[in-house]
Amino acid sequence: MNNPLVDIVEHNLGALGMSEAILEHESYDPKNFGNAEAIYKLGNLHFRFIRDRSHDFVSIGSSVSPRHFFNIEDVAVWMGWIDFEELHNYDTPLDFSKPPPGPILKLTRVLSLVLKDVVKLNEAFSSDKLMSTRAELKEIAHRRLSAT
Amino acid sequence: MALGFIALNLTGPGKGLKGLKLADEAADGLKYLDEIAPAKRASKQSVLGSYPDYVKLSDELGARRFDVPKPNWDRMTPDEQWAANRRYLDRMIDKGDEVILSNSASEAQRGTTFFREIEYLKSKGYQVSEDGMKMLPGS
Repeated sequence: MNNPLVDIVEHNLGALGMSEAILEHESYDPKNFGNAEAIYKLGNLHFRFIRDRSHDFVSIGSSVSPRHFFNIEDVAVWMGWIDFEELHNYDTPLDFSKPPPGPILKLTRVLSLVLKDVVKLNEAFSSDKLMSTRAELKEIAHRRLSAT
Repeated sequence: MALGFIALNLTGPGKGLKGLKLADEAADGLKYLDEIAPAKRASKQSVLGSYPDYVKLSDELGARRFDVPKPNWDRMTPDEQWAANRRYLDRMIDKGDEVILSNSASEAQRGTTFFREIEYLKSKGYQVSEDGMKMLPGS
């Protein structure tokens, strides 16, 4: 059965001129929720697209460490795509009587931002730079979690 | 089974509070009466997280997880979906389940259901464990 998330991701990749991204893994659960996963490789970058209970979101990793993915919020702050204030103001205050709105960084927006900064990202997630990038992202994650 | 499906079939977008209640009960009914294997139903563990990790871990542990068949989920409004999810969490709390996370709490992105689940449990007195992989009830 076709994975609908793969169809959406590939449509977006194609529209942005990123068709060289290679699908490395995908799964789809047509029984429960229609959850899905798709992992793509583009240069040194790995993208993990997830559909979980109708929300699509993305995380980014390095092909050097293909099983580890970084929270896209930390990458976005690090890259200057969003700031902490925008992040912390999103879906705040939490209203448990309303459904969650989905991630602040929607799939199309992430891919557009990646395209804009693909050279910088590709270098940051290379084997030479991954250790320092990881340390900086860890510091941002610490600040994000401290403020939650 | 019949009750759950009948209730969901009666429920659709824009049906208001009555629809919400029916969908909520139906989702619970499907899960608790029909969709959980007996061994899992007896489990005192629940797994929360993001797909596909929570599915894999709950299968490994024989633990409970929140599941709704796709056709039923697709018929529900976002309000109804979250109400069913929240009801699952409330039942999990009432049963005193051990709450295991398949993904570190730090991975949860704001606005996603996983993030909302963690914050909901915090509002009920739970805390994230030091390693980020469990939700611990308040003392």
